[in-house]
Amino acid sequence: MNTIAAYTKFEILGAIRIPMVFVALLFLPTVGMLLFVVPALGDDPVAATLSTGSMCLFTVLIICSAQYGLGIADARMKPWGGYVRTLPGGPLPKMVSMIVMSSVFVVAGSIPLIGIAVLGTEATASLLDIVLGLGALVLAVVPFSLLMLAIGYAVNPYLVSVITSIAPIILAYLGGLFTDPNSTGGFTANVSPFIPTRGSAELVWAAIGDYTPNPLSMVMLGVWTVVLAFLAYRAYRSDEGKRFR
Amino acid sequence: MTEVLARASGVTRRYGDVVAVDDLSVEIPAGQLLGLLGPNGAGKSTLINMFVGLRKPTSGTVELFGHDPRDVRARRRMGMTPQETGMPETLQAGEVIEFVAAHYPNPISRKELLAQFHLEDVERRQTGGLSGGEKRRLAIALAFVGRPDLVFLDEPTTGLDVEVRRALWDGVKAYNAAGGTAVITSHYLEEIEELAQRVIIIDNGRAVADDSVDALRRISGLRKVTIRALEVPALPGVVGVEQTGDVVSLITADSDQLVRDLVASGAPFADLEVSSGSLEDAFLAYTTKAPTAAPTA
Repeated sequence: MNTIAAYTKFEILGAIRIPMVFVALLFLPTVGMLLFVVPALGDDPVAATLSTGSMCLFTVLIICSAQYGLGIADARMKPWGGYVRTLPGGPLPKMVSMIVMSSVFVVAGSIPLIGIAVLGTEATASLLDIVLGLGALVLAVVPFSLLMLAIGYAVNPYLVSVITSIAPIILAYLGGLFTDPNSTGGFTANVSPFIPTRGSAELVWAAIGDYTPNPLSMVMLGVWTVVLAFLAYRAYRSDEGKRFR
Repeated sequence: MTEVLARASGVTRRYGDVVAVDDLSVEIPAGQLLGLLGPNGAGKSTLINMFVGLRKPTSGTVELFGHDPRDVRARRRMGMTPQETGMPETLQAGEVIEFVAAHYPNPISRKELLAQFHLEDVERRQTGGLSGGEKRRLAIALAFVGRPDLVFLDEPTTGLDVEVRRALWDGVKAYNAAGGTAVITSHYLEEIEELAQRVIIIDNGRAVADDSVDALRRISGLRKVTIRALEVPALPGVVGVEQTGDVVSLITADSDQLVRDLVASGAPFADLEVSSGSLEDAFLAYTTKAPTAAPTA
């Protein structure tokens, strides 16, 4: 317990001393709110509410990329990461502290977006809806942190920064986060259900508004989570820090 | 019979085609200060990394306190220094110590540790802003946070000034006097000579020598004949000459013959002294590559 608290404090201290990190994390979702949600869907209470959820999920993707993808790649590059692995802690405190951090980031990152929705759109949601929605967002950390862990451990650290900066945008786009959740256009109907982002998004939408998830998306989300967990585990096991050949 | 704290048996580690450690066997008994000496790339760091569980041997076994080095039970009794270049820059020195201390059941109090390594002034400064010497001292302090029975000190005093180095040596000696065991690698032969009771010379991944510092000096077979003289005649069998003012040291394989020749030459001299060669001579005798010269500071 002592160790878990120490890791969490360590992570938080490391993050808050560089405030620009938060600006970088929230930049794209905020732009999405201001340029897409507010002008295009702001007058429609249902679409505005659900799309605010989409932008919050977009933030989750970016947080996972930074925290797990970049964070792990960074730890593999730096001797400090190797040193920490020689301490008698094991992987548990590190994992727990990262999950706690993610949850804190997700809630903190959603607040400004919810603020924009309240001020700039007709979006409505009860307090319970918002709490459920935040819960669904924290749940969404699971598949995407696993994806980013797999990338962070398996891919050359220099490449990870490239992948982690474009992956959230591609995943958000393919999952249909940049369209009206209730639109039934060809793309969102045919491709999105097979993308893990869609399943997570539909859970968020169901939590905050009147939305019924597509069973196919739910099944695919489960499949993705299992596959990604396997890949992340394999990548972790075969990692010995920086590789020399 | 002394307890063996760590043991490598027939250990080989390859990186692709490169063999970094080649069928090496080492036992580290309790209470010993063991020096690992070798040219760059000889395999010292790879050996240490296998002892602390950062790398797995390609073949052979490594044991730490009777367990696999990756076992938490083994790591609780072991300490090592991180490389100072990799400290988390935004954290304060005190916070880093606190983080490491949280891993151990009975860590040294922060105050005591800071005092021991002369770090009181930097406790509340971010590690990114510390000088090279301060970072180095913090890194070494971290190895001792958990009151370890065995510490691995990889190049502990590289880049430190003489005063700090001396203070650190005293610290290591005090730790050893209280029963602690340490494995030290260094480029500085002087450091190994000062601290280590036993030296293993590693070259090309193999242990080419494993003995006490005194024995290694003798084994090198070279003797130093020191005299006070204004002029030294050319003598046969001299392989090296060191001169400071009127004090001249002649390095030779046969000091008896050299002394005879010196007397026979009739040259005036005083204060004749014969001593065994230095560890550096032994090192050169065992390895093909020259060591880094000891810093002159």
